[in-house]
Amino acid sequence: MDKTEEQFDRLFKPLRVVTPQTSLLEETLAMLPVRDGVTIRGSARFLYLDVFRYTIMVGLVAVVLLLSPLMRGGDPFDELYALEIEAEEISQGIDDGEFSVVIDYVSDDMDLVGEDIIN
Amino acid sequence: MESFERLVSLARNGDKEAFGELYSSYFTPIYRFLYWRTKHKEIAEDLTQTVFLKAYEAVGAFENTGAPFLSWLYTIAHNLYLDYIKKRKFLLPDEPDTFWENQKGFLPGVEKEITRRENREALDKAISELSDNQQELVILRFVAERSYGEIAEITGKTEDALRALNYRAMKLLKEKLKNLFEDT
Repeated sequence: MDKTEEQFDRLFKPLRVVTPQTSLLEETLAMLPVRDGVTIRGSARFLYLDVFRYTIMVGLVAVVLLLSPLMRGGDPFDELYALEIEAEEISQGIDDGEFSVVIDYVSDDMDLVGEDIIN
Repeated sequence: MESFERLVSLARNGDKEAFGELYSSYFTPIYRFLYWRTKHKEIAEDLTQTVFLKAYEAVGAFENTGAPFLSWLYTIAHNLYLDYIKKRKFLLPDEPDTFWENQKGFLPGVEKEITRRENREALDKAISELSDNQQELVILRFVAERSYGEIAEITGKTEDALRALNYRAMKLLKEKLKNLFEDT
């Protein structure tokens, strides 16, 4: 602090004696909100984590399901084409009120599995 | 008496008693700063109270980053005052002189009441004629007795800019308070 600043320091000294006539402490303490932020933040973080984990799991399952025919040597375009036709057939069956198409597929699949077991 | 760190930690966890101790320790300097910014007792009291309510809400975010707790409170007060100015768009007139008459020790060393009053009015007027930034700097520097480093943190300005601002403010004040300086 140089000489001029020291002069100002002396000049302003009286301004430092200004003190509040009331502290408003009781009033302010009564106005303080109940702190429950920690719990809310904690549970929110927990929820986000759960959703994140669930999304990752679903994603992994979807990838495995999609890739499994390819891992058996299937052509990805053929697989997609087959899925498309199958979806169309199911859709057509539902439109015509014939659910038998779906049931046939299921029963055929079961027969095949049964034959495999017997053989 | 709990240590400062312990009080902050307790206040962070919602301990109102600990927060009350912090409040009692820091209320006066924050009030003094806001009083000289607003020049109004009730508004200064209300704003000081709001500073502490905001501090209570944000005390969880306050970490010992090297900045003193008081500087952090000054930063809240600085921002709150700016908001207040934006909302009000004008400053209320100064309070009646009766306030000063009750303040013992104002301009100590000056014996005669008339001189004391004249000196106070001259100083008050001179400060009011400074720019808003200069007023804030002068109050933080000479009333709140903060260092340039702390004022830089509070106002968001660089220390060099503050020194330049202070130089200009002191030059202006010296011109306006020529008589007072001749007396000292």
